[in-house]
Amino acid sequence: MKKSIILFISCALLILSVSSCTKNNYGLSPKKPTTITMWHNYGGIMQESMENLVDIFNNTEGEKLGIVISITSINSTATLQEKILQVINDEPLAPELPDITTCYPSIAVLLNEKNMIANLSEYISEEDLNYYIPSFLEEGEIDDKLVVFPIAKSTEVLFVNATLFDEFAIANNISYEDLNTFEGIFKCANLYYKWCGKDFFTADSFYNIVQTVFRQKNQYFENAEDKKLNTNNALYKELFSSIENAVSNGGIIIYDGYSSDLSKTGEIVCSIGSTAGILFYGDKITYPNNETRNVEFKVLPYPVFQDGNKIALQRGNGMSVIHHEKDADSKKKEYAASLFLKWFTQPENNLYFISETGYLPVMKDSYNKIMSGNIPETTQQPIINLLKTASLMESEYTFYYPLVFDDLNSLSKAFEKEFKSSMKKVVKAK
Amino acid sequence: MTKKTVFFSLVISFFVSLTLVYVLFLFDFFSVETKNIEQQMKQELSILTKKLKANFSIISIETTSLSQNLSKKFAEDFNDNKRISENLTNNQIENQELNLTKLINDKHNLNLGILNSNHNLTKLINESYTTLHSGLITSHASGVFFISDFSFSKDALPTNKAGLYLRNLEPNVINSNFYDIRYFIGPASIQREKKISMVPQWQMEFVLKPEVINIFTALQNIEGQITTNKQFNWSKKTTLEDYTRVVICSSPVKDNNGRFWGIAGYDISEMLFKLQYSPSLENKKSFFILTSFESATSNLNEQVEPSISFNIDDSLVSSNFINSKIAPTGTVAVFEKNNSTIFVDSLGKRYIGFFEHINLYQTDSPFENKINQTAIFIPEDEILILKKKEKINTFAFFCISFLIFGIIPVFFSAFFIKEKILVKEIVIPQNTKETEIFENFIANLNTLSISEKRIFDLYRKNYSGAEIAKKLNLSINTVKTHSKHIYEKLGISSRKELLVFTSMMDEMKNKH
Repeated sequence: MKKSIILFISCALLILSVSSCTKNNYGLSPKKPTTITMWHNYGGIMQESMENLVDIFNNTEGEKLGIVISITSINSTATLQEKILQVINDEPLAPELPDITTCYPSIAVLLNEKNMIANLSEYISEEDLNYYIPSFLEEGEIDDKLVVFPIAKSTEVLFVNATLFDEFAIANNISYEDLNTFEGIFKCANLYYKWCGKDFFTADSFYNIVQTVFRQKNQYFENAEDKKLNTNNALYKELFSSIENAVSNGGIIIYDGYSSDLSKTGEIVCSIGSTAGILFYGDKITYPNNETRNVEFKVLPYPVFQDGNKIALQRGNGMSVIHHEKDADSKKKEYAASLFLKWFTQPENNLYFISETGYLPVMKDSYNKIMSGNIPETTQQPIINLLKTASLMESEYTFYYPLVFDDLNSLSKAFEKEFKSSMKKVVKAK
Repeated sequence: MTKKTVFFSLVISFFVSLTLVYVLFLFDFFSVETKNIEQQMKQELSILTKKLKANFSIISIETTSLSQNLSKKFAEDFNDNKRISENLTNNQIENQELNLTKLINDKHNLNLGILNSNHNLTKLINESYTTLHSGLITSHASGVFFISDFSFSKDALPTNKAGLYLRNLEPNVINSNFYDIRYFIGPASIQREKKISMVPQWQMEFVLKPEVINIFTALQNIEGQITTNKQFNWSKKTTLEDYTRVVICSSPVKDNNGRFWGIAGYDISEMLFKLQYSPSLENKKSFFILTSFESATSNLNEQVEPSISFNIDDSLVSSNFINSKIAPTGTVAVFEKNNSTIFVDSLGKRYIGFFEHINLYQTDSPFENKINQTAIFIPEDEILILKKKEKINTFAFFCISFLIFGIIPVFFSAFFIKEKILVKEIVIPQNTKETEIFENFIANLNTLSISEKRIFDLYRKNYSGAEIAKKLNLSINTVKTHSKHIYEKLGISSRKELLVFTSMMDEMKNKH
């Protein structure tokens, strides 16, 4: 009898230890849910979509697993970064960091130095990570650790007011193919200016154009070693000269705000901007005298400069999971956060988010679904157009992400200001 | 101890335990957690309501001040016919005869005049920009607006109004170091000039919702004798641009001559409300709302259920979590039951909580009869779980108490001091036969051998046979043999009898 009891207890212990080794859930229990706090920087419709998804998660997978996501702060990117920096610098009135936050790699580097960021590779298997777009993951890797997890990315595309462009194209014998290259766009701008005396093109960021063209020509505009920009480079001079000529010929406007401001009032025909800006392009334009006109916007792939490679900029932040050194439950929370991020990026959930916001999905399978038309029925036509172009770019283009080094942010801002200032002088001289 | 005694002991301890549970129950010993939650809810409601009233009062003052500043500015800028005329010339406006002051006195003509020159309406709105922008930066609100009584459109509906609407995505109360002001409604030319970011849902002019139109009309019709600082109105939850849900505080922009230019004020977005007034009840999913109901002036306790109701669509709601399955929807009926206030939404979801009346207006305000309410509540399930836990705790306490006062003492008595009790309970025999046996017992004591006497003495001291064997280093069989001889010599048949007689001997000694 005694022997059989000992045998039974030994078996039970063995089963328990084996099961704990194979499936460690870090103590998550549906009976005692773990609350995960989150900060994000999504405003307007994006905020609503994020809250809807968090709501769905809390009601389904979260309930099963014992995870409750609680959004505790919604701020602009700048403010979120400022808050995180306060904590990193140990400032007296620094807030307490949440468990998950939207984060750029430049901030993740600092968090990593202080051992305040979790390595998500510990919680998400390599097999699972294989389903994601590699460059999206690579952008979030620091010291071989996955610290910024992509949940939705963006790239730059060409937004075209097709209604205005078609009228112009018929009259001037040009086509959409002319918009595949920067040279074609500059040619059209000049023609348009001559045709109706109005501006044709602008961009949200000329710095982004320059850095992308450099990559298209297999060069880097940023010099990470010297921490400066290669403005003495021959390619830069050539590109600068092309844009300068185009501005001088007319049809290109140098504008300090978002290019979509000018699109909404019918003051330009096309512009380069982030895919996340799709919500800025509606189905009508309002002229300054308050007259409105129904229009259609098309989304075209990023233009190429002088037979360069098809390369486009990868944009958008990701989610980082905070490692709370002093919290005994940190591992449990990190694991719970990783489960939420995995759930959020699954095609069905990710497509819901991107179909409302214009961001790009992060898993390869999501692009297959888009190409086969398997997207939420509620998706608006402009976003459908955008997603199709983005999927085309995903297969034909290479996404690249900028290098990260100190002062890059201030360098790029200074460059943008200086570049626009130079071009404005050209406009004035004209 | 007899069975009867044990039974009575258990019955007594049962009632003692029951009384103890009842007394503790009267003192809410078992419902401490529920009472704590209720107490916390009351405190939280009081704190949040006070905070809300203070903030809303400040915004009310800021609103009347904003409209006064605008009135003053418009009166200065547009009363001077010469300046208008110069301005028109400078801007090469075709209608040189336009005199905005004159036209404002005549609404019909004004619209015609404005149609001839949108420039003047743009100028009017442009004049408001600085006042609105600086007001928004210092205010605790999320947005600021000026809605003029005019439109850019030729065939404008009464709902179409030109104006300006700016919103701060980082209000003061969230971030005092940084603001992020966006351009929601207004002429594009002003946005360009001021270099302020447009939002995706930007509109050239307002298309007002019925709630705002009603407020617009009510403010337009306020009589002149009412003090300016009392001329403000708080709306229900509405929207000024179809997307963001807000409550607005607005005030008429009228100059000294009683001319009505429009309305101006601040908004509080649902998001700002959530961030500012999120209830913090530990580990409890809770809601805090600001609402208004027309029938709320009567005493709730006197009413037949449901006493009142309100609509979630008209209310600002703040909660400390996101879960639509739990959040109330549609019309919420409020019941008073067993000293608790129960809230039931249109889907039958039930909540328990409290509410407070809050007056956002001053005495003699044209809107002083509008009573608002704040409420705090949590899903009823949360309380039911607690109550179930309390029932279990009460039962567990009773069982433990019964165990301590009844079963354990009886158990101890029965097994550990059984023999002592038995001896004490033995009564000295009274009949003749027993007396004879006892006398023989005493007489024959002297016949015991030394060994037998030693064993007899140990029996008297309550030693068992095995204990005696151990103590005297004898085998148990030897002790048994001696015991047999002792019983024969003393004329008894058991150890029990031996103990009875020795006990009687002791008693006799004590008597003597």
